[in-house]
Formats: sequence, C-alpha cells, structure tokens
Amino acid sequence: MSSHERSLVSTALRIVVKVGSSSITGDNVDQIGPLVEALAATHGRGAEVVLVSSGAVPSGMRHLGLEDKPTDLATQQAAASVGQNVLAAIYRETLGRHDIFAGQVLLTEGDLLDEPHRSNTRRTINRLLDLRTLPIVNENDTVATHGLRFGDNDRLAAMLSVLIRADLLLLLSDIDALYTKPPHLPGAERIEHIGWDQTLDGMEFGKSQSGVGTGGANTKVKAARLAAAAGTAVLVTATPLAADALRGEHVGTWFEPSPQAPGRILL
Amino acid sequence: MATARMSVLGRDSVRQAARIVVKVGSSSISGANAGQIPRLVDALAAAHGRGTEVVLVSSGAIATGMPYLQLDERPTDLATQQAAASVGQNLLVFRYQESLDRYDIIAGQVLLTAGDLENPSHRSNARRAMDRLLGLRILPIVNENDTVATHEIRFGDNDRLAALVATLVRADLLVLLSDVDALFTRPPHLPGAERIEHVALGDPLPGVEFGSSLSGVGTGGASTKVSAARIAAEAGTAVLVTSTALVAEALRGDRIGTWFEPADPASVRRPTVG
Repeated sequence: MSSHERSLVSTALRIVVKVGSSSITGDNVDQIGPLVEALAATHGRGAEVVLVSSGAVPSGMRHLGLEDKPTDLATQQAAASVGQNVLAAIYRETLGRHDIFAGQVLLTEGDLLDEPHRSNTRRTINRLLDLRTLPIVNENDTVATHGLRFGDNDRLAAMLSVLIRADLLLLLSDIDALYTKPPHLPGAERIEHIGWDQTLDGMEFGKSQSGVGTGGANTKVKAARLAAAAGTAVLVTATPLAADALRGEHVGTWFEPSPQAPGRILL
Repeated sequence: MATARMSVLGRDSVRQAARIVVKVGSSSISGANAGQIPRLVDALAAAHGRGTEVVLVSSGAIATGMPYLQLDERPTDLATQQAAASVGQNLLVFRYQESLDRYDIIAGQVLLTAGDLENPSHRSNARRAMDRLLGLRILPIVNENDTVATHEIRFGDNDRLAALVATLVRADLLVLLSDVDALFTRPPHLPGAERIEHVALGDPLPGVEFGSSLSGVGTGGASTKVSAARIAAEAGTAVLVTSTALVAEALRGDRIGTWFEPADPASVRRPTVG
C-alpha cells in the first residue's frame, strides 16, 4: 500500500465495514469485541461508520441448539429471526461502552435497487450517520426469498457503499488478503494492490471455504470491483486485522478507486 | 403442531384457540408505559404455556428510539422517524426478550413491509417462515419494517398489519390492544357513548362515530381497529378489541372488550399447501 493510500484510509470520513459470518460466530464470537473497539476508535476520530454484519443465521442456529446449517429456507429464516436479536444485543452492549448507539437496518435487494426505496434507504442511513449512530446493516434474512436474496453480504456492502458514497469499504473475513489462487495451492501469491482498470486474467478466486457464510474470495473480488468502479476504495483483509487496517497499516489487498467522481457510475 | 381450526371460534372458547395474534399499540408499552411489558409478557407466556401458538405484533420502535436521539416529540420528517425506528426496534425486542427469559421463551424478530404480504410468492414465503417459527415454539415479534418502509410509516398502521398477519397465519383469534377497554358508539369521553359488546359478521355499524388516535404516539385509533377487525373477521379470524391492561383477562377468555364474530373459516379458507 502506498503512503497515499494509507493516508486515504486514516482520514476517510465515511467507511463501510463488512464482516462475514464465520469471523464472528461459533468459535470466533470473541472477535466481535476487538472489532467493535476498532469501529469505536474510528467513530471517535469523527468518521462516519456503517457496519454490514452477517451472522444472523448461524447465531440463531447456535442459540436454538440446531446442529448443522439448515438447508430449508423456512428454518434458515426462523434462525435468522432469532439470531438477529442475539447479534444486536452483543453489538449494543459493546458499543454502549463507548456511548455509541446502534441502528438496525434490514434490507432486501429492492431497497438498494428500486426507487423510491433506494433514495429512501440513502436518506435514512445519512440521517442515522448525522445523528452519530452506527448503523448495522444486514439482509432481511427472515423474509428475503431465494430469488431476491443478495446471495452474500459482500455484494450488499458494495452496493451500499456506492449508494452512500463511502470513501472506503473494508471487507473482513477469515483471509488476510487475496491471493492469485486459493492460498493452499502451490504458486499462490499474495495480491497487494489492484488498479482500478487492471484485468485479473490468470487469477483463480474460489468460493467460501468456511462452510458457515456464503461469501468467498470470488464474491469479494466482484464486490470490490463494483465499489472501486464507482469511486470507493476497498481493502480486503482478515477480521483480527481490522484495527490495523483502519489505522492505515500495510495489510490486506487494496483496490484502487476509479478516478471518476462517485455517483457517475449507475448501478 | 397445532393446525388451524376449521370451525368458528366462539367467544366462550378463547382458551381453546390454537393460534392467537396479539397486537399492542405504541402508547401502551413505550414512554411512561415501558414498564407494562412484563405484564403483557406474563399473559402471552400463560397462553404459550398451555400450548397456544402466540404471535405478537408490537408497535413502539419509533417511540422507544426517540429518547436515544434526544427527541421529545415524535419526529415529523420521514428520515428521522426511520432513524428512530432503527435505533428503537432492537431495543424493544430486547426488552421483550428480557421479560420472556423468565419463561424460557425465545423471541424471533420479523420485520415486514406491505410487499411481503401482497406478492403471492413473498406471501407464501412469509407464511412458511412464520409456521416454522411457531413450530419451533418461538414467539415471533412482528413489526412493520419502519426503517425502510416509505409512505407506510405516515399512512399505515399496525392494526392493519396485525390483521394481515392473522389472516396470513390463519389465526383463530386476533386481540387488538390499546388504551381503551372496548369500542364505543362514539369517542368514550362524549356524552351518550355506549360500549359495544359484540359485532356480528358484516354489521356495518350504522350511526357509530369512531375517532382517530388521541395519544399522539402511535398512528392507530378506533377507526383503524374497526377496519382491521373487519379484514380479519371476514377471513375467518375472531377479533377482540380491548385494553392492554386487560390482556390477561382477554387471553383467559373473560367477557370483556368488543368481540367481532368471524366468518366460518371452512367457507373462506383454502387448505394450506406448502
């Protein structure tokens, strides 16, 4: 990361942070605390922060004592309905220690694509940010239908970043950076930087390995390119590195934002 | 798992209702009345404990969020209303869950918009999700998705949402709770106002004057309750309108409030498929 890029991060005024399911549920539930500390520090320096948090379904599964990830939609929805509350309570308690109030925003794809919902969503999030709250956004898993689901919150986070003209999108998961091929394969190399008009020929990005969420390197790259093309810088790294990332330290894979002014790219 | 009854629920058989939707208004459980939540939960838990499937439709997200945004009065611009709802919704559900913890009942949050109940595939999807929640003995707490809903916040009301949810899940009974213990032939503070005990199916209630909300907190009122009650009754769900203070009596089957006789479910409902 160049020093220019590092300074973009540490002075970014409007930041969307997205954290994946496997990073904050199950054995990783204790990663929520440090993540919130990092968000609070960023909020404390005057930045506007939005969190896109997955994890409602696995949190609900655990709370209900159901074993494996359910495959039928109705049970997933029931789990999401319970899990959303569980997660919200954890976030509220940890943010509360920093006197920050969270706002819950549950969206379906239409809320980010179709008018009048799109403008309405933008105004609501802007208002929440004006009021110095920390909006916590998720897909409305309880009611979203198969045909309409975002598929993964990476895409939701990117669309949201474009909608609210975020300076920076931070995509957090189990991987510390992106690699030219799945990192366990021979010859895989860490990718430090992707230019806004760079092609990605010869790279192989895989699907989720964790078995918990629905993301993966492939969805991250697509989401990152969508946001970068609209003028939002993107950094992809691991959840435990969130504090380092938000301080502008040299971690993760950086996607350079398009020099075109945000908002000129229409979704 | 309880199945929807296919015969008319009589006023004297409320205790046998297999599936009940209870709707509570904002002014009954927020602001000065936030302390009413445990009493309400006691009554819901009693019904749940005897095997009844219970759904709660609760208003109050905006009112609950207002103090956190340092607002003394209900915000008038939509964006601030939505911000207040966003902050208040989880907190409201959390307060219910804290109270439900005494009974080991888990709550599930369900946020709906009109579109979720109108489009046929969304509707089936919502019904299946609700059936699964109830099958798992979770208590769904339903509200309009105020944070993203657009004009619905200004013109809609949760009485109607509750009626639509009751018809969606084929409830036997819908209980609409607010600050007034029954419906009256005119606003109850006016001279000559009489309590209405029973409304027959299809009764147009000629000469009755129903008012809109006086509390300044919610968006309901007697007229929205009557409209909502009719929607539910015509679809086969019995309706009882009474005050939040009388919720325990209502769910025990005591003769209080205003009862709306339902249509015969066997004649209005198709058997559930999927």
